[in-house]
Amino acid sequence: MSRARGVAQPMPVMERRERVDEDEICPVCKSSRYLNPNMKFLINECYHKMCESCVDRIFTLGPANCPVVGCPKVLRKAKFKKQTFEDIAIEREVDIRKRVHKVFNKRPSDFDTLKQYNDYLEEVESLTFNLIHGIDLAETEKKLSAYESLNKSSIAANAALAASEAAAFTHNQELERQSIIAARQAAAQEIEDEKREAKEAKKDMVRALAHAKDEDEAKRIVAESEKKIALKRSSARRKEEEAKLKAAQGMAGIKASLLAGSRRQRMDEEEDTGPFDPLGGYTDKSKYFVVDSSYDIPWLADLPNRQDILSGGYFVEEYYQRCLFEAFSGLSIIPEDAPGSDISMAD
Amino acid sequence: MEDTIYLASSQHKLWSFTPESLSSVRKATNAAAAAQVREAIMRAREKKMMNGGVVKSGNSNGMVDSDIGTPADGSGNGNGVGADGLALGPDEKEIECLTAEEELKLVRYYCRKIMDIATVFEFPTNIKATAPTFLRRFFTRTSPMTYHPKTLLTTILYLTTKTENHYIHLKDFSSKIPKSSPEEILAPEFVVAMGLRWCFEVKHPFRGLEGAIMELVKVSEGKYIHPTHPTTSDPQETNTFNPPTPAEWQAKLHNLPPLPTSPHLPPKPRIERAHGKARSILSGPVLLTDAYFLFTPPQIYLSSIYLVDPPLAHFFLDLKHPYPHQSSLLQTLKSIIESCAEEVRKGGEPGAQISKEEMDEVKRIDRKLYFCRNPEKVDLVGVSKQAKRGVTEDEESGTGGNGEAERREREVKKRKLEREKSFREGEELFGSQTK
Repeated sequence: MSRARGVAQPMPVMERRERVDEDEICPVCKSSRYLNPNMKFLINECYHKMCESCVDRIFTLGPANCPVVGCPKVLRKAKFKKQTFEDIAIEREVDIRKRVHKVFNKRPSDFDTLKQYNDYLEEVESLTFNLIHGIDLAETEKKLSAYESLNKSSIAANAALAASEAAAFTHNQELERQSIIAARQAAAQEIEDEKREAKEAKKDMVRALAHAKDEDEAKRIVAESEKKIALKRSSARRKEEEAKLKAAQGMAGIKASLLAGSRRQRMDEEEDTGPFDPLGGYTDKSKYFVVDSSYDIPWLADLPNRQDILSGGYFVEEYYQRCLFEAFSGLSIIPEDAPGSDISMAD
Repeated sequence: MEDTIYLASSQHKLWSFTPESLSSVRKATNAAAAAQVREAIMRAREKKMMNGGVVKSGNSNGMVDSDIGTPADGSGNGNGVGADGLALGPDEKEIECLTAEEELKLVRYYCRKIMDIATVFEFPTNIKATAPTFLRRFFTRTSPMTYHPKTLLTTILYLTTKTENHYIHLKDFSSKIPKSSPEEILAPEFVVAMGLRWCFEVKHPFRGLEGAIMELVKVSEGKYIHPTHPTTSDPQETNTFNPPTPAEWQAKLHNLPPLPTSPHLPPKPRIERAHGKARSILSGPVLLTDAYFLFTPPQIYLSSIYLVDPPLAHFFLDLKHPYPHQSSLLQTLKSIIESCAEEVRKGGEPGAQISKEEMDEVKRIDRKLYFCRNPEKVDLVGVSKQAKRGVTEDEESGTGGNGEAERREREVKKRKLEREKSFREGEELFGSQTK
């Protein structure tokens, strides 16, 4: 993407050295941030930066020309916005992409095959690239508007679909958030109840002990209250588990409903053509020969005894392979196809 | 698969020709070199006129012990007379340059010579075969008028020992070659490498021949297996057609038409005989022809088998192309092998000495070449030194032997300056300069 940008409109040239100054001084009124710490910079469709007060000053009375010298754009105040990205070129690219995707908003489910969808994506990307880099601007714009007018209904339908999906998504997220809050509140409530009950139980026990007649009765009261507490604890635990289970089920329901949207768009793939072959049918097997395990070559007969050669890593199989390979490397090349017929001189 | 890899090699991409393109390249090389030589000789004459007859040292560079009596080294006092003759002889008449055919004859002769030298060194076959191939390759795009082949023989051979991984020390190498020095061997190396377009790999047919013989021996033993890899886009045919079984192939090999010279040879000795003879053709006559330029290694070794045993070569092709759909390819290959054999035949019999007529012709060409050499490329050592030093010709002109002394003087001065500088810096290191 580091191509020279042949953009029709003059773009502010950003250099690292100047950037500091540019951040501090409005290029239109030259007032600096030093004097006005609350200064905000805004940009419009020509991506020339200026401070808020300049925008107020120039554009309050209606549309006016961009104050930057040589920029032919007529700007409106309503369209000024804050810069999101530091690099102005990226800001512009993102805007263009947004604009293109508003028009080209087809989904994978609109296509019969994956290939068609990919072709469509490629077409869209090349359009976007042209727009960003100012290649064939007029033609590309024409294409864009032609597509827009042709596919008005499908664009609208897809936009509506996207909006409803987004709404569903936010709704789901809201639900999730609420359920989490409810669970937290319930947990806090429970802890509080427990504390209170424990306190009451203790109070009851002390009262009972005060009225007890002898030691045995006191012991019995203590044991009873302990038993009660244990029972309560176990029931509380069971309750807690139940609540957790419930919450998990709720979450699962939400997640499933979220996923359903994306799962629905599963496409019918192109017909299966057997296992995938990364080399596209290329093989290292020869159509001329198969290498046998041994050949009767007189001068190699003594090789198995030649430890001095074998220990160096000599494989006689490699030699066989190489011989047979070279016996056919270039066999069926017709001499008329020889390429060295260019008459250029070496000296 | 095999062909794809061969198609990617530099031998195919840069050094394969059709007969027509090869001859047109040679003609273009010849024409360009002739023009350069004429200009260079004119320049030399002008210079000579201006210098008033100062003789520049001429042919002092390494001459391989050669048995053609060229004026350059045969006339004994080659130095002064040679340089003089260059200017005096053709002063009046028009310079007569070599033709492309004459150049080719000369190169062919020096291919023999370079193989002879390799034999003296007892180099392995691949060097013996690569060296003449380098020589031929170099002189397709460079003319012998620019660089005399004789002056490049040792360089090419030494370069070959390096590219073929057969190391020999330069001193040992040059000590075995009379009238040569390490500098003379190394001086034109860059030029040679450039002329070879930096392609040092030569694909030879030798190992391929071994492979073919291995397969044939397997057939003779009845153990040949044909690959089951589908060879056709039509799988129906592969399924319905059954290639012959190993036993059938063995029988076919046994029933090959006998050779007229030795009629009752059983298959295995017959294969061995073909192997030996084909090998001697590959390591001799083939290298004196254009076969490496025009055909691929498998075609070359098959044609060498074809020359000693035509039925066997055809049998091998049949063996490798048994399916009916391959019959047209098979016919094409057979005709290619025949035309390749035709080319190889031009190399003569293996082991044959050069004929009297050829020798006389080479002597005549060499004498003619003496008057049309590029005088600027004669002193190769000087040329390469100049290139290394980056000295332009104007600076060097006229100084001759003086140049060397001047250079040395300059170097001494430079070193002295460096020494002084480092001394000063040493003094300053601890601040003796503080004032």
